[in-house]
Amino acid sequence: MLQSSGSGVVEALKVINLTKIYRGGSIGVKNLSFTVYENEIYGLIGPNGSGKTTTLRIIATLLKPTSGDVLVYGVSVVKNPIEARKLINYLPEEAGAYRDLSGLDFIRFMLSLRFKGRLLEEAVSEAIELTGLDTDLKKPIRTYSKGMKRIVALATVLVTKPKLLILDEPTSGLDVERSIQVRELIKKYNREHGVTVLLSSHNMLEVEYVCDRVGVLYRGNLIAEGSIHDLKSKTGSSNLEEVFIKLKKSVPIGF
Amino acid sequence: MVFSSLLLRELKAFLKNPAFVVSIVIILSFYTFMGRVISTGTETAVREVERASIGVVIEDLNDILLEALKILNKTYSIKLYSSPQDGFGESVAIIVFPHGFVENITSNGTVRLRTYVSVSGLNLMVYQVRVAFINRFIDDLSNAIVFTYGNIHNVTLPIGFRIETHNSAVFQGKTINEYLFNTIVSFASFAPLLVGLMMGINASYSSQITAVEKDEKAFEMLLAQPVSRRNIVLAKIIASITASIINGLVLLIALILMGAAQVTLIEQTPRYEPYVNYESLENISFTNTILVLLFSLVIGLVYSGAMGVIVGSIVHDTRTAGVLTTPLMLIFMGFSLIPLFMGLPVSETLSILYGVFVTPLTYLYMYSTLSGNLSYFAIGIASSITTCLSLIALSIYVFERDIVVTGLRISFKKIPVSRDSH
Repeated sequence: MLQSSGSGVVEALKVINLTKIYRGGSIGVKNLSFTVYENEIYGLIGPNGSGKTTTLRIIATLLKPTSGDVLVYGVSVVKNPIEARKLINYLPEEAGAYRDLSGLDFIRFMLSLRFKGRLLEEAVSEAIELTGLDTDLKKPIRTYSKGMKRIVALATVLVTKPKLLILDEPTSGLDVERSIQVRELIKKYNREHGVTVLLSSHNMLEVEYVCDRVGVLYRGNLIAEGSIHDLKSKTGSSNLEEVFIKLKKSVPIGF
Repeated sequence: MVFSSLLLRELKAFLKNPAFVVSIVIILSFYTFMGRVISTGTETAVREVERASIGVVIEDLNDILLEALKILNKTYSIKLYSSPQDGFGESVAIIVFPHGFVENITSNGTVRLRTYVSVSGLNLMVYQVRVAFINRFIDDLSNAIVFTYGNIHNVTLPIGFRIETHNSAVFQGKTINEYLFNTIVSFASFAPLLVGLMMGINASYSSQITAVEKDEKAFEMLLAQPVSRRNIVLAKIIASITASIINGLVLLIALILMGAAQVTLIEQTPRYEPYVNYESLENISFTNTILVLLFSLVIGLVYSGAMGVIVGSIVHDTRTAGVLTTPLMLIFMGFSLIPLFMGLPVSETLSILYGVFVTPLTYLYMYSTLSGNLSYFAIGIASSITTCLSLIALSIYVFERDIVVTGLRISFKKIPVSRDSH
């Protein structure tokens, strides 16, 4: 069942009162709610420990929330994780690959979990092209640089063209050239294939460049949300970094 | 200096690893428990012998022998039977004194005695304690005969005679040749060790292949794919079993060759034919035993594969998985040792326990076959299959929990703090 806002825009992702308290009492996120609309690129920003990875892991069905729910195109990730996984794909922070496989074998393996026959071959060919690694793809992954591994992993999730793509720090640790390549690929698949993207990042410049809207997380709470232009206007800031610093200062002590 | 820094870093990595501490605690606790079981078994065996009576069958009544037995009766509890079979249920050991026994001794000849050693389980330790008990009795008897002969005839008997024993085991009221008994017990003892070893190797493989995915950072990508966790778990278990089977094939072939060699040995024995044949035990089918061994191996591998997956699921990395798998391997080996030392007759409860441990299944089969009560084996099989299925279910359950992503956290403080990366 597709979720639609009143204006007819389809809700690709709806996070409803999400709370995650880990064993031992540490709080991942607290009563978090936000919505990502179809074809949008939504960025979650916040400092370390703000709850970004926890939120993405719950949406990706890796963790179960303490309370609340997440709907991906109306499918609950809590009640129906397998169905939800058919609609999403997830690239974790510092995602690697099986060291014993070649890049090509890894791509084929990961894609074989979603496609068969002709569709599989087409997806593999597309991923090979995306990586731009040519003959290097036949070498074992243990010989790859971090950037090469990242691009291989990104290619395997992009070519599946999920309804919702979840990216945790997609350019973390990559050099400038690779980072630009990754950002361009994200934008391309969003624009050309209608892939809705939810990403987290520390890199405010990257978020400004890639995202349509952002949510600012701080200590497990969503302290602001909106388009980058709106957030800048509301806080009187010239860039997203300034927005974040001002928002953080406005948070009451003990929040 | 550089080397000491390197060494210190490696040692700290182990000693500061909570899994290492946990593994030490597990090993200590388990083997302390094992020690108690073993010492209880040994003590029971020794005390049983101390309290037990020794039966004698005298085919040719002789004053010197009777007098010597009277002397020994002050130390031993001796019961006289008209035939060995009469004493099977009462005495732990029965010695048959043949015609001309005393004459052979006094003429410094060689005397051959038939002895029957009662055992309630396939336990070499208990058997050997009882054989030692017979040997001690015969030594004392020799001295008593020399003493009695000297008293009656007023001469000192020169000690040039030799007493040889031909031992038979008595199990469940039936006799079994000592060599065959030793072979059966050796096999029943060795087979669980083999299964335990294979289970340890397999648990190590399955925990490694689970934990290594976390090191490779591909694990979360895999978990987010539209595949059921059950399939991921089963694939890991089957893959580890395949690797273990390949690894253990040579060992198994060696075992079969060893078993075959022992069968050949049996055919060359005994040196003496038993004087009288009582109801004897049928030989256990070698083929059936090997089939049961293979069955227990398969069950054991699935069992340990599931346990390995559980360990691999709850740890953060391969190093911790390795540290935690070591006690698991030792515990499997420990399970194999329990029937060897426990020395208790198999019961329904013990059959369930052996089924839960899996490794003693071959022992249980051999015991059940020899005792003519296959219900023990059936209970053990049902128990092992139930345990195995429960462990698979548990491994799938664990794989579906947060712990597979967050890893096990041992925390003593509850400080509510906001955090991101787990």
